Amino acid sequence: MKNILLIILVLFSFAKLNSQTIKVGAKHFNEGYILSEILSQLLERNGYEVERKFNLGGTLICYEALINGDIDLYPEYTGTISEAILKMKDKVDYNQLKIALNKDELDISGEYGFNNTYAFAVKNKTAESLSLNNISDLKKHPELKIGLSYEFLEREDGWKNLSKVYGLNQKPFGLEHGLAYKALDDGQIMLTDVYSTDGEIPRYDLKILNDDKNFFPKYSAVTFYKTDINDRIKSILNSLTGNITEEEMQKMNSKVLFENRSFAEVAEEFIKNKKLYTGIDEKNIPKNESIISEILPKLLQHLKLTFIALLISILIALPSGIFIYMHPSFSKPVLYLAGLLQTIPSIALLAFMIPLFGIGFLPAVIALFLYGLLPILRNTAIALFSVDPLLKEVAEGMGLTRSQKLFNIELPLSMPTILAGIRTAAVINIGTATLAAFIGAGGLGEFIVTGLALNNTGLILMGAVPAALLAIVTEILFEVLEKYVTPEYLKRDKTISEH
Amino acid sequence: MFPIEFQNVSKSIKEISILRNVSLGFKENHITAVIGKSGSGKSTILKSINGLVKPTKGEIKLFGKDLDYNNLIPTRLQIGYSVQGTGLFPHLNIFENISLLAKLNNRTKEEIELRTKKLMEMTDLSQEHGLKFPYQLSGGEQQRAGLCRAMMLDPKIFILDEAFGALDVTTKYEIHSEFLNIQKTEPRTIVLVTHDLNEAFKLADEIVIIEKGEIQQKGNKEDILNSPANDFVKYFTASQLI
Repeated sequence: MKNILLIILVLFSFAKLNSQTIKVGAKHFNEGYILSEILSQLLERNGYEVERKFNLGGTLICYEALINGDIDLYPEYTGTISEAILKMKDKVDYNQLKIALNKDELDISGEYGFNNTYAFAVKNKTAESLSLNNISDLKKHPELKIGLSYEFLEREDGWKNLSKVYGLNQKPFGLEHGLAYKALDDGQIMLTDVYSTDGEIPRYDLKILNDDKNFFPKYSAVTFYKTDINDRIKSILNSLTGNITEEEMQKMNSKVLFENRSFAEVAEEFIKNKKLYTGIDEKNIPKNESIISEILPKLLQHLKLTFIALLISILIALPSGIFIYMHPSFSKPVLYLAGLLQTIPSIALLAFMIPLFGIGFLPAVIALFLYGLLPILRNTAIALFSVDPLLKEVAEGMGLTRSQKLFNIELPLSMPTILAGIRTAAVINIGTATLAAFIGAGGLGEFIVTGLALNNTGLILMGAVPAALLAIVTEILFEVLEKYVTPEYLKRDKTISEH
Repeated sequence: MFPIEFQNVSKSIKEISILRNVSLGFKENHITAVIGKSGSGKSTILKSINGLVKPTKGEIKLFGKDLDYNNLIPTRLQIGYSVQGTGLFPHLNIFENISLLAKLNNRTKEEIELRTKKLMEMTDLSQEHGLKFPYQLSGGEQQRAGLCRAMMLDPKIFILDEAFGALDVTTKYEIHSEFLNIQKTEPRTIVLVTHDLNEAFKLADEIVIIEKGEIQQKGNKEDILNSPANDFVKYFTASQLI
């Protein structure tokens, strides 16, 4: 009997374990999405619920999200962890990195197998005709036309030191990274710097030269998580170890970028080809949706973000505006403070929110609410201060109490100006809310962020156009509302009273 | 006992003297006109009555009691207040303007309707006027509405600051008669501030002439005309009555 109970208990806890929701994050670029989708699908196929928290922006945001428990894991690169996160000066190998992370209760999975670092690429044809295999082979071809990205020309791990290490004498010129592949394809340049897993590499039939003097730092892809993640998940994550080569990653990137395949499709195909999961249970693989059904939920999320933030702005700024009108000595410091908040760039304000409130809806609403404060606060105070002093005196002399005067005379007379402030705040919020996607708050910005990461104009427009329309509709709604609250005497020519 | 009494009242703002040692009593149910040039201090006298201005020295007694500056509202509710340009609230229609104070002080709907109707009849305003906004009314109509509003709570005291100042001569004449009619039906202690001696003679039982913050003379029309207290009064009346 006791044994049966124990078995039930174990089964129960196992079932519970499997129904646990795993929050998977992603760095916002093509490869980040594909890897996160692979991880998500692997976990789902093993019975876990997965919450995809993609669109998290760059390293800092993903890392903070991991620390705060807003996500449980995300794919990261060893070089980024050692340099950008742990700020280690010396090159470290995989084991040293793991030890350093363990001290902070963090951990990484085994390496996926590919290294996404800077690399030199030439056309395969060029490589054959000049017999180029290693970077040191370049020494034999001083005439080679080299075009490099501006960043690579400047970086410590870029041309300056690389040319010294390899003893190269070519005079490279700078060009925009986005143009480099085209220039290479057109034969205007013969060599450029690339990321070793760029999807353009197979597309343009390029060859990566071997870094035979180990100049470039290693950016091995791994899964990044906290040590307390359970062992079953760890073993699922480790099934990727050694399973993705650079060529495979390039091809997956290329499929998304140039063959119009979704992340989910590419990830699914990879899992099948690699036979990473043999079970029958295939569930939760996102399918292509129609544009409307894709936009609508994000539009609603956008509205929710903006509306809640605006509502809180009004609830705080309106009474504050009244307060500084009643206590004018506070007006300067309060308005300066609100003005200061307004000068913080929106993306920076959103980033400040992460250590305080994590990622997702809450920090986004708080940031948007802060942006909405100033226009409402300032308009409220200015409107109240500029009510005709004669009317204020008459109201007082008649025997109205302070609050009767405020609610019956001053506030109604200030309403059009206050509403104009709310309108400004609303429109600012709709625009700023598109950036909230960077910290995983969703909304129309998700299209824009993903579109930017993939250089996909269509996707950017899917977010930008509805956001612009939303701003216009909001303007129109407020115009109607303003007409409704503006007293008759302000709409008409005042000289009529002189008849 | 005077319903309104000033005892050695002085007022200065930033060391500039506005009122100098003013002692003055306003008779019950009489109309007193305070007259003087602009800057003479006449409006300050008026605003001292409802506590909008607090004297630097001296006392102001209403019905024998010192003004309580910590609790002015009950006093102000007993004082009707009307100013030049009427001070009607532009966002409220005429009914709402007239009845605002009564509503805020919890008078019943019937009470308010009855009183509004009576006041509007007395001042020759129609019910249609009631639904209009101030900007839709002529200057004279606005002034009448202003009088109605000030008398809504049937105050014992009524103070007017250049209340008829902006009107043309004909309209002014009409409203003056209505004003005197009201005083006959509902007598109250009225203080009106004006710069117009003709208006003062026409409306007031008693006249106070003020210059540079000091009372020059107090008396009725005959006193002022026949026995001016000083040269200022003499020249002032002469210049006004040409």
